[in-house]
Amino acid sequence: MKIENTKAQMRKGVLEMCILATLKQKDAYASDIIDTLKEGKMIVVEGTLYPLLTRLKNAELLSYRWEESKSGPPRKYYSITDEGSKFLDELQITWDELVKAVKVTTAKNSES
Amino acid sequence: MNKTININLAGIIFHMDEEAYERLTSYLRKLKAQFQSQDGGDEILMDIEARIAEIFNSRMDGKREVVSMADVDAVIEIMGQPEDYAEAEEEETQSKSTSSTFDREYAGPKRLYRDSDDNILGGVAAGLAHYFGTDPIWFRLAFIALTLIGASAGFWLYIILWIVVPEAKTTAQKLQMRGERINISNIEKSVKEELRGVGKAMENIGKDERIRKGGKRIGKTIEDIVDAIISVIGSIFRVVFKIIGVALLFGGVIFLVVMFSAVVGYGVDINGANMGLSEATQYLSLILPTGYGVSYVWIASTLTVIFPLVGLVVLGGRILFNYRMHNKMIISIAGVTSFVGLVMWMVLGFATARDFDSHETVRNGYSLTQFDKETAIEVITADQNFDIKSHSRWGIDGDKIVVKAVEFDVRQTRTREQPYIEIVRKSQGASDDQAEELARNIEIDVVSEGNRLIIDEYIQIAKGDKYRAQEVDVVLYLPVGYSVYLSHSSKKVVHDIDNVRNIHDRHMIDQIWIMTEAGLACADCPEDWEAREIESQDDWEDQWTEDAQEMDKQERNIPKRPSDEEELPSLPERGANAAAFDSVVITDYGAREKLI
Repeated sequence: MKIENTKAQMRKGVLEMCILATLKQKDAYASDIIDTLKEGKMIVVEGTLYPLLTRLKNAELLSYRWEESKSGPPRKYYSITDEGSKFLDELQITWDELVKAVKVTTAKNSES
Repeated sequence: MNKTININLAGIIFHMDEEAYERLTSYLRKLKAQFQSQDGGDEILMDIEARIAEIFNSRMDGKREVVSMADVDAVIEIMGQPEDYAEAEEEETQSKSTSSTFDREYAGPKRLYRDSDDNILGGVAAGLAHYFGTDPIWFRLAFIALTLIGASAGFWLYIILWIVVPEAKTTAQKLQMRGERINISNIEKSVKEELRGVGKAMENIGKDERIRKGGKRIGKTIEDIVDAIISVIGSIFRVVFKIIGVALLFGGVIFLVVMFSAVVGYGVDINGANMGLSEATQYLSLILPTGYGVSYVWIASTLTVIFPLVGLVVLGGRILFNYRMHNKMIISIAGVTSFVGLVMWMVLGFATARDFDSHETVRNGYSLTQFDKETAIEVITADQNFDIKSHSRWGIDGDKIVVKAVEFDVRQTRTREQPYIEIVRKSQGASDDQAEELARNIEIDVVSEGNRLIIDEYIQIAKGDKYRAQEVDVVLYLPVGYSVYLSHSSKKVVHDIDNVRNIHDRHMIDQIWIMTEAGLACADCPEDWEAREIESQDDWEDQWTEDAQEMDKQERNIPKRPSDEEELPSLPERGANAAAFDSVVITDYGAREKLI
C-alpha cells in the first residue's frame, strides 16, 4: 500500500466539497478554481478537474455562462446553484463530524 | 526550416510544429478514448481543449508565433497524463461499485491485453478470454487444437498475438482488459456511436455559427463551417472504417473456419482425387524430393503466411479496437520470415525439378505362343478392385501406390512369326540409376488366359518408392495375318493405336482388327461403317494420313533389336510379376532409351 495513493484518495474525497466551497464565495472560471485548489494542494494536474466540473454541472449543483476572454477562447464562468448550496451545507456537516471523529480517534491513539 | 500546421483549438488558430502537432493529436486522442464513453464526454473534451488554447495563448504572449514541442509538453505537464484521468475515473467507478474489485462492468472501451496474472505462457489466452467474456481454457484448447490439426497454425498465431498484444501492466489497463464484453450488440453500439458523432458534427455547424455571432467573430464563421464539414466527412469515414473492420474480422474468421473445415472435413480436390489432410500428406511425401519431409512444406508455408497474417491482425485490430503497433520491427521480422519461406519454396522447386531430371526406360519382351491366326486375341482390362475412390487417377491402397498409367498399343512385327508382347517401364529420377531402379520396381500384371490377354489398368509402386512419373506401355506385336479383338473393357488402356484408316481409338473398341501389310485394318466393321467414319475427311487428308503411316511403319521397324533372334519367355503368372521379372533378365534388351 502506497502512502501517495492514500493521500490522493483522501484529497479526492473532499474535492467536490472544495469546488463547491470555492464557488460559494464567488463565481469563478475553471482556471480560478484550479488556482485555488492548487494553492491548497488539492489537485496536482488540471485535467482531472474538468470531468468533475462537468459531472457537478450535470447533477445541477453548478451552472455556468459563457464569458469573453481577452487572452483566448470564451470561458465558462461557473456559479453554484441553490441545490449546490444545500449539497455543500450537508457536506460541511459531514465534514465537521468527520473532523471531530478523526480528532477523537487520533487523540485516543496518542494517549495510549 | 520546419513545416508548421494550422490548427483550430476552441476557435483560435495556432501554428504548430509538425512534431508538436503529432504529440498534441495523440494526447487528445488518448483523452478522447478516456472520456468518450461517459456522460458529457464531448463537453469535457471541449473544456480541456479550451484550457489548452488558453495555456498556449499565454505562452505565446504575442511574441512567438509557432507552438513548439516544449509548449505541448508544458501543457501535458499542467493538464496531466491520460493515466491520471484513468485513475481518477477508476476511483469513481470503484466508489459506485459494491462488489469485489474486478466483477464490476468497466464502462470504458474494452481493449485486448495479455493477462500476466493468469498466464501459462504469455497470458494471450487469458487476455482473449477476458475480451470475449469466456474461460481461458477454451482459447488454450483452441490453440492446442489448431497447432495439432492446422499444421502448427495455432503455435504461430499464439506467437504473433504474444508479440502484438500489449501486456496489461497498470490497474487502468487491467480494468480495460476486463471491461465491457465485445459481442455483436456492442460492436453495433460502437458503430452507432460513430454515427451519432456524424450527427453531432452536423449540429455543430449551426451551433458554432450562433456562438460566433454572439461573440462578434463573424469573420471566422465561414472557416468554422468548413471545419465542421470536414469533421462531418471525417466522421463518415470513421463509420465506414469501423464497418470495414467488422467485415475484415468476421470475414477473416469465417474464411479461416471454412478453409480448415474444407481441408480437414471434406478434403481438397487434387487432380481429380478427392482427399483429406492426412491423405494429402501421404501424397505430398511421395512427390517431395529425396531428403525433404512433409514438415519442410509446412514450415515453408507457415513462414510464408506469417506476413499476411500479421498484416491482417494489425489491420483488423487497428480499425476495430483502436490498436496501434508500437514496433515497426515486428512487421520487418514478419517480412523477413515470409522471404525465408519463399526462398524455401524456391529451393524445394529446384530440388523437385532435379529429382525429375533423368528419364529411363526398361523393356521386356514375352512370347505369346498359344495364339494362332484363326482366333483373334481378345484384349481385356483386369478388374483390380483397389481400395481407392473410383475413377481416381491415383490412390493409396495399403502399402502400394496405384497409378492409372498404362497405355496399350498394337504394332506390326516383320521379324517374328509369332505374336509377342513388350512391356516398357518408364520412370524419371534424380539420376539415371535411380530412374532405372524406379522403373524396374514398377509392378504390373499382363497375363494370358486362353484366348485372352489381360492387362492391368493401374500400375503399383511400393510405398517406399517415390512417385517419379512412372508409367508403362504395353505393346502387342502382331505378325501379318494375326488379329486382335479390342473388347469393351480394353478402352481403359487403349492408347492411340495406329490403323490404316486413322480411326480414333473410341471407334476401334468392340471390333476385330487384323494386321495387314499396310497396318491394322478392321475385320468386322459394318459395310457402311468405314464410309461413315471417313466421309468427313477430304481426299488429300486421307492420302496424307496413309503416307504418314507408311513412313511411321518403316521407321518403327528399322532398329534390329538383339532379342529378335532370341527365344522369348512366356508371360509370368498373375501376381508373380515382381519375382518373375528378375528371372527374365534375358528378355531385357538392355537398351536404355534416353527420352527427350
